[in-house]
Amino acid sequence: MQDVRLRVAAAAALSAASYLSVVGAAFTLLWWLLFTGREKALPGRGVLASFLLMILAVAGANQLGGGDGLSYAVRMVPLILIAGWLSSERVPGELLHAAVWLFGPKTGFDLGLVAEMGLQAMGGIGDELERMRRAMRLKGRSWGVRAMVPAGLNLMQLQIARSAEQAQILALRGYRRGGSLDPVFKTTARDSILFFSALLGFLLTLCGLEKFL
Amino acid sequence: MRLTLAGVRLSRGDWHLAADAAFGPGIHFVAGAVGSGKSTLALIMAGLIAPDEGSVVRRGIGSATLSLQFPESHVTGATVEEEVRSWGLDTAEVLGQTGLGPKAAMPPLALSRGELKRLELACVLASKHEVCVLDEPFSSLDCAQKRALCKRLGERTGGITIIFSHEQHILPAVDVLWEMEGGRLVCHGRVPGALERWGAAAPPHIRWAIARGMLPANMRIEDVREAACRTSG
Repeated sequence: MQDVRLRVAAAAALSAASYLSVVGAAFTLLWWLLFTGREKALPGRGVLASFLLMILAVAGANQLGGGDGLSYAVRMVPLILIAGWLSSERVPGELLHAAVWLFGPKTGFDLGLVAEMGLQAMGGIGDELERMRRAMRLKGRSWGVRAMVPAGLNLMQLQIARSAEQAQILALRGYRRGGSLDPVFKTTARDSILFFSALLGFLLTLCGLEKFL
Repeated sequence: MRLTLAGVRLSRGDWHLAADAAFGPGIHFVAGAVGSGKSTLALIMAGLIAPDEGSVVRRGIGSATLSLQFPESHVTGATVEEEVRSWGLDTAEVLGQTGLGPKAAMPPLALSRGELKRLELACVLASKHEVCVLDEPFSSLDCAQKRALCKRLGERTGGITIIFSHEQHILPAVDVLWEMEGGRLVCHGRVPGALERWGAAAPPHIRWAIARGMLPANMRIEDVREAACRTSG
């Protein structure tokens, strides 16, 4: 999907549908299978594994506590897939356009800038972890749980330092608040079909899709 | 002990790297402009990148290490002291040698780039590896630290040391001179004969000496000074 507004809205509708009911989750999974690049839309193996583990842990605890852990797991997995798809389709700069379109050149520009910088930093975390794994290999050490704490501390240190540098650069360039940007979007027929199908899925889930089956 | 690059080829779009070479014991200096492929070749030699074609053959080599160009790339410890320990080294010795003892409890990434480079180089050189590949070891160091590093490199005996650098002024004494030319690794041969073949990319003091018919014993400024004294004397 090329239009970021429709993509984010479709992802929000599908996420809500998936969270609301198991049928909504099944619809979301079907949508993901039909309309995304599947493997290309998957998050990285490590990220996917850690999210799945987290979901399974919460679902297990829920089930043991007498809740419906299985339903939780079934509803959360498509949500992760949609998040992975949303992230894989992202084009740098588009959130700034979307935020300015939505909230205007002052607040929208600031929010868009924060979102872009945040996502850029998140994208860099994977590279940083890979760098640390390489460093561990050079030191003849294995990458395990014991390495996680210093790795986390170093990542935090790096992100804080980079954020401070970026803030200084923006200030030096005269940035105070807001900016002038004419948002540009390209909407294709496919974008509309995908968005409306996602919206339909959400509305049907909201109305209790089970009743229609 | 020999490290051989057998038909190593790597391509990234329009950019190509080619290396056919054998490195024996001693200090090897690989010169080349920024972006000539030195870092990529260093990563291939250390086994961190696989070439598209060819292989890196290690004969009689038990262990190898690499000092990466950016010192931040080595950091895995949460404090300076932990960082030294992560190399399996004695903290007191390394911190004493680098003068970073008072900063032992600081996060490594809070050190200046120069301090961090000094720390990581000290750790790499203190680790007893038979092959030591150093990618731009002089970058981020001040003149005094560059000289100290040259002295330290001269004290390294027995193994294969390969220095990738575009440094033009403060240089160590080396045994063999190589150059990256258009993505291809070229061997100029053993020093001092190799200095005559270095050409336009050679450091200014070497070009100055060669242009006046002098052949310094090595590539350090003091070697050129000595050759000049010999000629004029």
